Amino acid sequence: MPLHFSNSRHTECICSTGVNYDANQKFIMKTPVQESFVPKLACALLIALQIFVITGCGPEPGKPEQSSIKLGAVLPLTGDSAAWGEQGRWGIQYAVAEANEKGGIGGKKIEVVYEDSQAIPRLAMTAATKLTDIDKVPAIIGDIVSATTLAMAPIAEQKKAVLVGISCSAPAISQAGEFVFRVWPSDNLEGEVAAKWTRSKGFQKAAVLHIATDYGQGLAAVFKKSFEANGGKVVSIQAYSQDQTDFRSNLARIESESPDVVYLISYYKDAALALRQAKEVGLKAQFLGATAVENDELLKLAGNAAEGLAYPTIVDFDADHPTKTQSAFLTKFTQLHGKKPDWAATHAYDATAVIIQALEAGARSGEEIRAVLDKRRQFQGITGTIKFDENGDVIDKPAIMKTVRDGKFVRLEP
Amino acid sequence: MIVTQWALYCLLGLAFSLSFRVAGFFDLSIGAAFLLGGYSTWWAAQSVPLAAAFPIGIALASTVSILVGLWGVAPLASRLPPLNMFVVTLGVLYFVQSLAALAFGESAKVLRSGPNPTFAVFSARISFVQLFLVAAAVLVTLCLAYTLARSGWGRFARAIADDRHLADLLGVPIQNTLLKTYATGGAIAGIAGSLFVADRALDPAQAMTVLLAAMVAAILGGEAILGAALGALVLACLESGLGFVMPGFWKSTVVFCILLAVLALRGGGMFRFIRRKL
Repeated sequence: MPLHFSNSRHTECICSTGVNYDANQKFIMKTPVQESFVPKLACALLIALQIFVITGCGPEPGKPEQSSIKLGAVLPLTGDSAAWGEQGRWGIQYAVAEANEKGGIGGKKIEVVYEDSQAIPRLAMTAATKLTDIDKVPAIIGDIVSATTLAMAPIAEQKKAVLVGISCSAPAISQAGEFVFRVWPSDNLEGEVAAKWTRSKGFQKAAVLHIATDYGQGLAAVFKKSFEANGGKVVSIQAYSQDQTDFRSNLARIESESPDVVYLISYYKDAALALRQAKEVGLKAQFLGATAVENDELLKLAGNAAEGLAYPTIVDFDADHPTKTQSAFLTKFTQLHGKKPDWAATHAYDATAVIIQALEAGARSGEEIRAVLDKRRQFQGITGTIKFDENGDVIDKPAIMKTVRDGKFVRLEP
Repeated sequence: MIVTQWALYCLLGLAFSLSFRVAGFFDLSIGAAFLLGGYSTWWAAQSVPLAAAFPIGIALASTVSILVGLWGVAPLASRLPPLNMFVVTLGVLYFVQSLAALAFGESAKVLRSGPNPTFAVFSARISFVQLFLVAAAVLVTLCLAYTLARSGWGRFARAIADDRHLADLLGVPIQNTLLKTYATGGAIAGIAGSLFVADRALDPAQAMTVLLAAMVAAILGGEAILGAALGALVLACLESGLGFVMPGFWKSTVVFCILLAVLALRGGGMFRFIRRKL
């Protein structure tokens, strides 16, 4: 913590406040009370802030070791993807509470510092820097989206902190660094499952509407390659910006190519809007979505426009067919939060569980945790066994197709 | 669809241009009024029919804009330079954003689940909400043009926009005119917010995105308040047209490059010829 730098900045700020105030007072009608009170108040606030920063930033030399082990978590807690962030936070809290109830790690409780990425890479980078520099965490759980995980990867590498992605799936993450792991498979699996199912149903011409992020571009490329390798033709690929809410121009262009199927590679809110607007403009084609569409918010926003939407998903946790272990998790989680856990919650649980198991094996620093993950490569999570390959990618995850039927997400028969 | 985008940018561009030209600073609280309009319409629609929810939403947005103008922006505007006012109104926007997130949650809100009813126009299908949005934009532009040209407030507003110090010397009631300007701008942004939540989905982060487009429309429009309507048309045509020739994520970059080129070649905007008529 650059204490002296921080100190001098505040001092400079106090001085400049005073100078500016004096220089401007001829333009501003103020009472003598205001004139003396405002700079004093500013000084008091800055001093209070300085004391807060000094006392709140890590242990002082000579003080006893902390009684807890800190981990970091970066999730989209606000913004468009907040529904996943909320589920992810609950999943992490569940895993940590479970470990702490068993006595923690060597008698120390686990504590998680949550940071909000809003699914924006710039904010994720700030969050990762804060977690590694200020909170000194050895490992970060997150993020849910690929772009933010990729943005944090260089920081994790530089600070030697392990980064365990929750559901980030962009193929580029495989090569993001030695400290980067993820419990969700690469899009290579999802794209291939989607392409093969589409061809198996006899659809010949496909159009792709994807979000212009690492995740969207990566999945679109995998789908195109696999779909065309299986004899189909991708007639249009449309990218849209992350803040777009009107897809009618994209849909009009897609309609002009008369595709049999439209593959929406987007998050649930964008998918809901695109499905609504496709119905409004009268686009008649089978809609195919990415796993990211599976969220109750999609059903709320899209209503009956979501009916018939098909999508591939990882079938390691099915709330309708839970295993014995999953059943206890499902019941307790639902009682606690009033909502069933979705894939964001279960995979956030798994990402946390992997780190906790490394801590239980005696690892404390980022390098030690990475060494355990690299050596052991097999861990237990709520979704089953988590196996990592040499790139830190999870492997051997089964995928199936699901659809929206009568306002519910249900399995599609093979 | 070009007309829908135009209508949205037009409404927000007019609201922004009005406060920018008359008050003399970038008023980001227009985004707050947009959010208030959208959220209050959504909230009202939970208990009253849609036809009543829209006026309630718009009235609430306008009222809050008046209060913000009266207690927050107006007293400070006479004392602080434009840059400071920009920060003050940014604070208002963030405050309303956080308040909306706290009160209604982060998840997006829609007036009705599922697609809106549509009707056919030649080979295209248009929803009734889109029709209302376009009609509202046309009506607001015409009403604003008439009011600015004929009413007392309109004449005062034009005088202040032209030369604030001279208007003050000539006895134009600055504070009163500014207050009415905030109220009008807030109501127009509220209309945009109400129709936005009906046509698409509203979340707290949406305000900044649409505000940015409104700023571009207002700047492209030039010094005239009503130029924003034409600026919005240029922006909507560019966005829709560019979508056909390049990936969507390049649209904003190209639009801003065009804005830079316009400002470099014609510092006063594209439509300087309507300056005198507003």
